[in-house]
Amino acid sequence: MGIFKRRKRVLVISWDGVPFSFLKKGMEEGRFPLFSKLITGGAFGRMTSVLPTISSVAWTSYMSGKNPGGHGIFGFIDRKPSPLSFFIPTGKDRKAEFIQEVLSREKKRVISINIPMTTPPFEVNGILVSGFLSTKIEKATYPPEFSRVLKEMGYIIDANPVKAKDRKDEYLEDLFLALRKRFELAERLIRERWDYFHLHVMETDRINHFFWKKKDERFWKFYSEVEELSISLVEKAKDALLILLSDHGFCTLKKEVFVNKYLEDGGYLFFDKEPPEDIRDISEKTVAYSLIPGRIYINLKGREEKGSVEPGDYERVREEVASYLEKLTVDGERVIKKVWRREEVYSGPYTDLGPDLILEPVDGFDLKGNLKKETLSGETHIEGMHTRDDAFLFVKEREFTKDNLSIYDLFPSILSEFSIKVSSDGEVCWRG
Amino acid sequence: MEKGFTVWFTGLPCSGKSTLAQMLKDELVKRGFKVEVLDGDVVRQHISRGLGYSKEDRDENIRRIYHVAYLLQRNGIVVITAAISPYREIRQEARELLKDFVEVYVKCPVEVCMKRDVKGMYKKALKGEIKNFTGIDDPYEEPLNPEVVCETDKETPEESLQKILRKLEELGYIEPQVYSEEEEEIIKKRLEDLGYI
Repeated sequence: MGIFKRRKRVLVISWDGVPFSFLKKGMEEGRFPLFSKLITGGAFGRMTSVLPTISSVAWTSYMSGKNPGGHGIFGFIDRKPSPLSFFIPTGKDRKAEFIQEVLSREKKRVISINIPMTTPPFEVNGILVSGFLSTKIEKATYPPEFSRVLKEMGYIIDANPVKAKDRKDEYLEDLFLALRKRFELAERLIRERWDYFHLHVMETDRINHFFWKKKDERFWKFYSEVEELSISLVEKAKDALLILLSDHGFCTLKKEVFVNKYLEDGGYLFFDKEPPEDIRDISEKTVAYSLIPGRIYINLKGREEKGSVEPGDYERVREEVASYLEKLTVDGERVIKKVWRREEVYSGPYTDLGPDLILEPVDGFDLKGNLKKETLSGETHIEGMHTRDDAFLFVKEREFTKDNLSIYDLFPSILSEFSIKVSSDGEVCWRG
Repeated sequence: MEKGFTVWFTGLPCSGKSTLAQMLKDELVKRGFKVEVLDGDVVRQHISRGLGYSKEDRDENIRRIYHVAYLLQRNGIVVITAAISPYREIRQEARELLKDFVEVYVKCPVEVCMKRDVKGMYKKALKGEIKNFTGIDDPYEEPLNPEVVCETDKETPEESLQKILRKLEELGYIEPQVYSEEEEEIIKKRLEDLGYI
């Protein structure tokens, strides 16, 4: 052994939306041979994600160690209550520090590739490439000039999902290409000096959304390639602490359910204009409305532009709406697993920005936020949907110190590897 | 009234000042700013007509530009200047008067500028048909501490523009904007196609 102790390095590879149960079953069937071998040398377990179970919320929680009430991100779309309007939250809207920033402050060198909610790119001590919320490569990197490297190598921010509807073969080809470019970049950067390296694979979520039902040969070929490319990258940094994880699980999507239609049918949602074109067209008579997926807002006076529910009546009305929503059925099947009051799942200074109620659906029912629909449920070409309690976590050469792993635990656990103590909603979940 | 400020491009002839000035103007107009571009070539045809290229005349030209910039800026206009402005001292004068002053050094090797030679001026200067031509027989004093350096032989115009916009955001002159209207539509469509909104 030399005089100098080798620097501690952490390599994270994330496979968006890959379920624990899917990997476990796959390995039992003889699939994922490389991954099977890998996990014999560490801790592998099921992990719980966030509510609502969406990648933007989940990765913000991973990077900040906070629940949405602590970081302020509640979905891919959000609303400003007054004047009532939609907006698309980005990294600029988060209110918590990210792991890349903490490590940069501690002079650790960071390489961060493709993690959702790192748009717009922010300053790190190293290189950051934003994820699929970026529109063009020129605006996707820190430092900005690094975008040239991406351009030269033909890097792809995201495969265009419009093709998934009626040009699936083409879409699959695009997914393969995006995946390969992602790893090509990672292979190039892993040779640099770094302390924390995180490569995020978004394409696993995409293939699950659009190819989940049949799981044909092409689907498995894609996963084999994800596995091979990942393990090849791991081989380049054998000294690093390896963490592999996903941010949520997946299940077969049976039906889309239009929650606003249900609220309208129950006399809780009204519009000034038919059909409504915008969220501003909801009427003052409205009691509650929903944003995707299953986020319910009470039309509270003083908060909402057209608020009708008196603050003193808030609790009673919220309970009434919750009770109505619990009864939602489609084809005789119960749709809602649980209606959460926001204080049950969120805490922190930004809880007030979140929905008043959060619906956790029964697996298979995808809760939509369309303002106006003629029917309560519908079919879709999308084959898979997210589940909350079936993400996975693998940590090499470590053992878990708790059973109920949470995505909030990653932030303090990874930072503890660098002897950095932080406050978070999670706890250090491994030792060794 | 919005607060005015001046973005002062400086660099060799054909380094890319006018191109970037126009791109910046288009972007700032989209974001609701009132913007005026004071392009060196245009200024010389009007308010500086008759001035030559001696150091005195060049300095006088720049003084006129920064004075006009001052008048516009104090009325809430964003001013973008695109003149070679080769001398440090006079640029410093402009900075001191204007205060809300963002210097952008459009850096490009003279060989590359000569290859571009949009108006054939380098060719003429090399033949001796034009005297006191910056980069050939007149000096260019590089800024020592510009707010932004755009290396136009290495960056695309879009990359340089993003650099400038990020600096303006950082300095608080413009609100951070993740998406233009057009980009927001692209993202919305992507999220819709994914079933996310």
